[in-house]
Amino acid sequence: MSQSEESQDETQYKVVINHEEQYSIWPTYRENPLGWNDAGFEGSKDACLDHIEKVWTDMRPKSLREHMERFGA
Amino acid sequence: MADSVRKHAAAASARERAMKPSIESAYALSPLQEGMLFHALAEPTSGAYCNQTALLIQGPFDRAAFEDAWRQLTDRHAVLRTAFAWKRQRRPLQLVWSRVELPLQLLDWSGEAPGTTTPGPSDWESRARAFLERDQLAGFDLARAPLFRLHLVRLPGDRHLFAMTHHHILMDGWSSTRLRAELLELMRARMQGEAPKLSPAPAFAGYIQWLSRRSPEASEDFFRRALAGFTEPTPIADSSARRPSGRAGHSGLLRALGTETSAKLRQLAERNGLTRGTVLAGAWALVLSRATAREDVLFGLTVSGRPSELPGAEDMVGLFINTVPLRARCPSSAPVIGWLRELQRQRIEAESHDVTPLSRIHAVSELTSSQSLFDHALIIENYARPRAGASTDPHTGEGGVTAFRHHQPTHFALTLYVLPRAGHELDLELRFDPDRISHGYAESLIGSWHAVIEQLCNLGDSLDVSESERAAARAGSTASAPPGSSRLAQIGLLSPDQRLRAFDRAGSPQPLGGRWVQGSEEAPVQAGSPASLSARFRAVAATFPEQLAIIDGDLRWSYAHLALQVEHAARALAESGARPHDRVGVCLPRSARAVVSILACWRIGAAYVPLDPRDPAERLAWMIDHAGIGFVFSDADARKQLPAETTLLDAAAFDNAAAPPDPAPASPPACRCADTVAYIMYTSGTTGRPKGIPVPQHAVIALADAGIIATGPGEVISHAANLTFDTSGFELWTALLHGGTVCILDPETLLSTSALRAKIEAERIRSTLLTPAVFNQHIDADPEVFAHVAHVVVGGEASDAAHVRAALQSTAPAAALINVYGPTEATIWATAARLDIPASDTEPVSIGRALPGWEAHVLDSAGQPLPAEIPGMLYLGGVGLAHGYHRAPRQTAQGFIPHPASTSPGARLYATGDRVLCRSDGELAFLGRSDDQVKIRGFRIEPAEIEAACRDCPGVSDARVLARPSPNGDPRLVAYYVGDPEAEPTTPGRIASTLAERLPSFMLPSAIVPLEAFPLTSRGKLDRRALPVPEAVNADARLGGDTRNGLEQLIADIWSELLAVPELGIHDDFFELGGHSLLAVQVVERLRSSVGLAAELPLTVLFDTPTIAQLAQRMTGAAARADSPLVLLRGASQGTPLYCLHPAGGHLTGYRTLATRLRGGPILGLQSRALFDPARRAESIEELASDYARLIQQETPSGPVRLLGWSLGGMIALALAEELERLGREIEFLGLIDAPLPRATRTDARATAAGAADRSSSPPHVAEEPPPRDEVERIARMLGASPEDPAVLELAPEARQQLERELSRLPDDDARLEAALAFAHAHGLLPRSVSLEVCRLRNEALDHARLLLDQHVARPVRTRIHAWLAGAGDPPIEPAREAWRCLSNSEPVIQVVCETDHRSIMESATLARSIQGALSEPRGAGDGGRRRGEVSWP
Repeated sequence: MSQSEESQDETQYKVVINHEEQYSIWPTYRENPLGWNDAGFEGSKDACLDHIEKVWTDMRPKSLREHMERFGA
Repeated sequence: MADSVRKHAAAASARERAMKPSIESAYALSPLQEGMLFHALAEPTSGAYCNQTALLIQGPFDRAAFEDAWRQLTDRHAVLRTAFAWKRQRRPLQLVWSRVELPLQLLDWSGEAPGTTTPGPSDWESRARAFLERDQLAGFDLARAPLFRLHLVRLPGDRHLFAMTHHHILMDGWSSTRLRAELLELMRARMQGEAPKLSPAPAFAGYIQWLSRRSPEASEDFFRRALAGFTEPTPIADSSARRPSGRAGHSGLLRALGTETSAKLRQLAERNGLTRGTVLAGAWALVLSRATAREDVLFGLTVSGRPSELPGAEDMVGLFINTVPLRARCPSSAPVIGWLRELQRQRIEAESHDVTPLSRIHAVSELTSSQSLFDHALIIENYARPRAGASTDPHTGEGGVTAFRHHQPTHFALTLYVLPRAGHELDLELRFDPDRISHGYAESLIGSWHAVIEQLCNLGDSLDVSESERAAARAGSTASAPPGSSRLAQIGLLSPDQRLRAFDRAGSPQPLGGRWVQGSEEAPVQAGSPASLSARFRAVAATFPEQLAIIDGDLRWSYAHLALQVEHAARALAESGARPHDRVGVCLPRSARAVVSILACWRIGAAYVPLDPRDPAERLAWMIDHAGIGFVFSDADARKQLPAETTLLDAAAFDNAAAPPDPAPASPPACRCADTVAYIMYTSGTTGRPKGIPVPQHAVIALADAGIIATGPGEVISHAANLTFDTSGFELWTALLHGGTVCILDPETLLSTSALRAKIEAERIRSTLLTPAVFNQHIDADPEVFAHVAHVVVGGEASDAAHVRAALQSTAPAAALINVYGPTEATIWATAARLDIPASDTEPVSIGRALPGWEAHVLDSAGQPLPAEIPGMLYLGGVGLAHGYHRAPRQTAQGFIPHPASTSPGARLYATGDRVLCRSDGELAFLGRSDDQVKIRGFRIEPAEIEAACRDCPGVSDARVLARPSPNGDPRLVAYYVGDPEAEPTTPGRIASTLAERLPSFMLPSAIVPLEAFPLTSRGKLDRRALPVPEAVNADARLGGDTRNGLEQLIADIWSELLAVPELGIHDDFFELGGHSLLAVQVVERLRSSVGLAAELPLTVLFDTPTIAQLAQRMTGAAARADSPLVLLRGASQGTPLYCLHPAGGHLTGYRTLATRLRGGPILGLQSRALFDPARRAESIEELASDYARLIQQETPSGPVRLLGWSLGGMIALALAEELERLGREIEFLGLIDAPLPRATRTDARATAAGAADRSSSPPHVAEEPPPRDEVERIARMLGASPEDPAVLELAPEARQQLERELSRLPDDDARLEAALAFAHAHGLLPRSVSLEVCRLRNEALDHARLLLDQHVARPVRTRIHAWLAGAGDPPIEPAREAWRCLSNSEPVIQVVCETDHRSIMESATLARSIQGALSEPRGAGDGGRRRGEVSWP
C-alpha cells in the first residue's frame, strides 16, 4: 500500500502484542484475536507503526531471547 | 425464422397493403428508447431486448374471450400500435398507427386436431422451447407495428401455453404486468357479463412531453458531483479472463431468501428507517467492494424511471425504466447501519434524476470515453412475475398459471434481480454471460450476496470470527454484540460458519510427527524430531557415511567427508571468536565449499547470511553492517569485494581434511524453542535498502520434510540456485537432511540445454528446480530435455501455461511437473501443485495448496476469507513464518499481522501482497501483485528501492521506476528522473554508472529517461500512461550503423528475431535493446548452431562484446584462429556422423530446425570459409569437395559417413561423395534437398543419360531462375533477403510504375540497386539494417554460386541418391529422376514435400521424418534393382 493510500485510511488502530512479545496492529473496533493483548497505544495506522518502531527494540521472539540469556549468548 | 412466423408476417403485410393504416400521432423517443433503437439497428440479429414471457394455463380456457380482450388492449394502449421511423428524420420518431391487426397465432398441439398424432408430455415441452427460442431470435422490424407477437398453443390435457414476445422498446416489466392484469380483468368481465373495472391509462405521449419540458442541467450537475473523483470503474467480469463457454445466451442462478430471512430483512428495514432495496443494494455494493478489492465501487441500478412529479406516471404503459450508476464507498471501519442510511440518503437524492440518459451521465463523469461506467446492473423488481422452474406442475402456481419461460436478454455481463414472491418473500436471481463470467464465479457471487444479506439481517449476532465466536460456537450459543457497534469489516462474503471452516481448511498446522516424506524407505531420522539443523545433518551423516553427499564438477564427497570438513570449518570459525547466534557471511559462488561453510555456521549455532560476490562492494558493506556480520567465509575472488575490517575465513582451507579435528568444536546448547535463526536472507526493500529476513531453523527443517520431491539415499537433486536465493535451501536440505545427493550445476551447464541434458543423464539427476524463464528456454530448445528426471520443480515467478503444456505433452516419459510458490518471509515455498496439462493457455497455472504445516488464506480487504473463484490477497501462516524483518519493527508489524482465527494463541499471518484466488477444486491460482513489486527473471524487485537509489545520485531531484514490457514482451526496468535545477546537470549515463556501484545487476534499469516533470493525473497521481515509451527516446540516441557483411547480417537477423526489434544497427547494445542473460544465451546457441566456434563463443560472450560489430569482429578473429569450417550442429556420442553442406549463402542457419529433429549420430556442418573472409572463396565445386573431404578424413578417419546438402549444398554433397568414394570411404547416405539439377554430366559411357541431363538443364533454383518479368523484378531480386530467398517487391501498381520510371532514368545497375534499396527502405519493405554493401555481397555470392554451377560437371557416384523436392510450383520430378539416375549406380529415390518452397522445405517436419526414415533404412540389401516411386505427403 502506498503512503498516500495509507493516509486515507481513517481506521483507528491499536498496538497489540503476543506471547513472544511480537508487535502488530489491529483495528480498535474488532475483538483481539486469540493470544493478542493490547499494548496500550491507539491511533492512526501511521501513529501505531511509529510507536512500534520506538518500543520494539529487541525483535527476537521472547522464547529465543530467554534461551540466549540463559546460556549467556 | 420459423415458418409460422414468416407466414404470419407475409399475411400481415398483405393485409397492410389492403388497408393502409393512418398515423394517429407521432412524437419523440425517450433517451432510453433512443439507446435501444441504436442497439437494435446495430445488432439486428442478436435478439437483445426482445423480451418473451410464456405462461402455462391449466383448466378450461375461453379462447374467444382471450382474443377479444387483446383487441380491447390494443385499442386502449397506444404502445401496442407503435412503430418507429428513423430513416428520413433528423431525430427518430415513434408513430402510433390508428389500428393494427392482432398478431395472434393459434396452434393446436393437443393431438385432438384431425390428422395429428398425440405427442407425449415431454414432446410438447421441448417443441415449445425450440419454438419460442426461434420466435424470440426472429426479432422485429421496428418500422412496422405491432412490435409484439402472441401465441396461444393448445396442449394435451386441458392446458394452454400462452406466449407474448415484444420488443423492450415498447414497455418495461411493470407495464407487462399491468397488461396481464388488465387481460385477466377483461376476460373475467366478459365471462361474467359485467363491465370491466379498469383504471384509466394515461398515454405514454404525456411522459415524452414532460421530458421535453425538463431541463437536463440540474441532473447533469448532480451526477458531475456524485461521480467526482471516480476514475477507475469496478467491473465484475474480468475482461482478460474472457473465454468462450460454447454456450449461447445467458445462464441463470436462483437463490430463495426464504421466509425467515425475508422477514428479518423487513424488520431490519423497518427498525432503521430503511427500504429493503437499500439493504439489498448495499449488500451487493459490499460484495463488489470485496470482490474487486476496492473501497469505492459503482454498479448499475435499474430504476422504475416513473417520475413522481408526473401525474398518472404509475399507470402508464410504456418504457420508463432506466439504469443509473450507484456509487458506494465501503470503508471497513464504517458502522453498518449508519453506512446503509447514508446509502439510502444518496439514493433518495438521486431519485429525481433517474430519467437522465446514461450517455449524459457518462459524459459528465471523469471516465474516459473508452471506459464503461459499469458492466452489470441490479434490478429490484417491485412487480410479481410468476416463479420459474418446476413449471410443469400446474398446482404450484397462482390461479392455475405458471411461468414456462421468461426471457429478458440484456447486454450486461451480469444482471442481478430481486424478485418479489408471495407473502413478502424474496428471491435472488443472477443472470450472466457465460463467456465473460464462469459458472463457479457466478455461484460464489450469488452465494456472497446471499451471505451478506443474511449477516445484515442478523446484525444482533456477533459477526466476528473471533475467539469469543469460536467459544460460542463450541458452546452452541451465539455471542451477542450491540447491533449499533457492528462495522462493515465484520461482514464477510462467507457466512460466519463458512468462515470458520475456511480458516480451518486453509492449512494443517499440526506437527508432521512420524510422517516420512515420499520416496524413501530407509529414513534415518524421524522428520521433525531433532531440534536443530546441525543435529539433523550429523545424524544423517552418521547413518549414511558412505553415501554420496555432493557432486561438484569432478569432486565427489561422501557424507563422512562432508561432515569431517564441516567439523574443521566449524572449529576454525569458533576459534576465530564466533559464538552461537552470531551472523556469519557466506560470500561464495554455489559450490561444495559454500555448503561446508553453511553447515559450519549451524554447527556452532550461528546463522549464515549469503552475500553475492558479484554485488557492488558498497551494497555488500551495507549488508554486513546491517546484519551485524563479524565473520565471512569467502575465497580469493570474493575477498577484494569485502570490507577490510571483516574477519575472513578461507573456505578452501578445509578441502583436504582427513582426520577429525581435535578437540571437536563445542556444540551449541540445545535450543528446544527451535527458534534459532538459520539464516538472514536479503531481498529488495521498499524503503530504498534491501530488507533482511531472519528465518528460524525449524522452518527450514519443515520445508525439507514437506515431501515436495522424492529424496533419500540414491536420489540426486540438482543445485542450481544462487545462495542469495532462499530456494537454494530447498535443493540443499531436501537432499542433505535425508541422505540424498546434491549435484551442483555450474552456470554454463544451467544455461545450455544440451549440456544440461548431458549432465542430467550422466549424473542421473532425479529432481531439478528451475525458474520458469529457464525452464521455458530449455523446453523450447528440446522438449525432451527432462525425459530422465522424475521431478521437475518450477518456481520463483509465475509459470506459463503454454510451456507447461509443451513439457507435459512431449513424448518423453512424463516427469512430474511441480509448481511451487512462496516468499522468503514464509521460508522458501508455502504451496505446491503437481501440474496437469492446463485446460487453456490463458488461465493462470495452479500454485496448489499449502504445504504440510503451512497455512494459505485468501482474504479480502477486511481480512475475511473469500469464497472460491473470488480473487483476494494471499496470507500465509504456520510453521514457515520468518521472525520478521531484521531491525525493521515498523515493516514487521505491518507485514506480519495477528492471525484473526487461529487456534494457537498469538499466531501471525504474513501479508504476501500477492493476488490469488482459490479455485473451485481448492487449488490456488496466482493472479499478480497488488503493489509495484515486480519479478524479473526470478528476482524479486521493489521499484521503490531503485527509485531511492536514483534520488541519491547527484543531479537527480526525483525518480520513478517501473517495469514495462520490452519489445519481446519480457518486463524490463525503466527509470524516469527529473533533474535537480540547483545541481550540476547529470546524464542517464552518469546515473547508470552511479547505480551500478550500489545495486546488483538485476536491479539496474534497462533505460534511464530524463523528464522535465512527471506527468500527473487529475488527482495528482503519477500518470503512468503518459510516461514516454523508452524505445522512442532511445531511437534518437541509437548509434545505428548498417551491417557490412554476411556475418553481421546473420547476427542482426538472430537479434532481430529474439529481441523482436525490427531495426538494428551494428553498434546497438544488446542489453540496451532489452536483451537479458537468457536471451544472450539463445543468441549464442543460435550462432553456435549456425557457424560453430563453440569453443570461441562462450555463453557469456555478449557481456564482453555487446554490439553486432564487436561480436562479428570477435567471431571473425576466432574463425581465423580456429581455421575450420566444421560446425557441430548436434552432438551425439555414437552413431554414423551426418555432414551437412552449406548452400550459396555459406552459413548453416537453414539446417538449424532440421538438426534438432533428426535423431541418431552426430550432425556436423561444413560452412564456407568465405563467410569470414571473402578472399577465401573457392573457384570450383571440386575445390570445395576436396577441401571438405580432407576435413572429413581428419574428423572421421574411419567408418561410414552420411552426406546431406540443401540447394547449392546438394551439388557440393554430390561432388564430395564422389571424392570420398574415390578415397575409399563408405557413404552410407547421400541426401540432396531441393538441389539444382546438374548442367552437364561427364558420363561418356552413358550417352542416353547425357541426353537426359541436357533435357533437364533447366534446374529449378540457384542455377537458373525464370527470367524476371520486368526491370523492377530484376532489381528486386538483387535485394533478396538471402541468396536462397530472392524477395520480389510486392507493390501496388502505381508504386511499381513509379519505381520503374525511376530505375529507367539511372545509368547502371549499381545506381539502380541503390535507388531500389532506398525505395524499399522508405516503403518498409526491407529493414534499414540491410545495406547496399550487404546486397552487393549477397549478389556476389549468388553470382559466384551460379558461376560454380555453370562450370561444374557432375560425376556419377556409387551411392544411392535420395532427393527431396519442394512441392510448391511444379516440381521437375521426371527430369530430376533422369538426371540423378545418370549420376548413380542405384535407382534414385525422389520424394516431394508438399506445400513447401525452396526455403520453407527446411522447416518442414515432414522432411525431417522422411530423412529420418531414409537414414534408418537397412543398408546394402538389393541396392541396384530397387526402384521407389515418388511419394507425396498431405
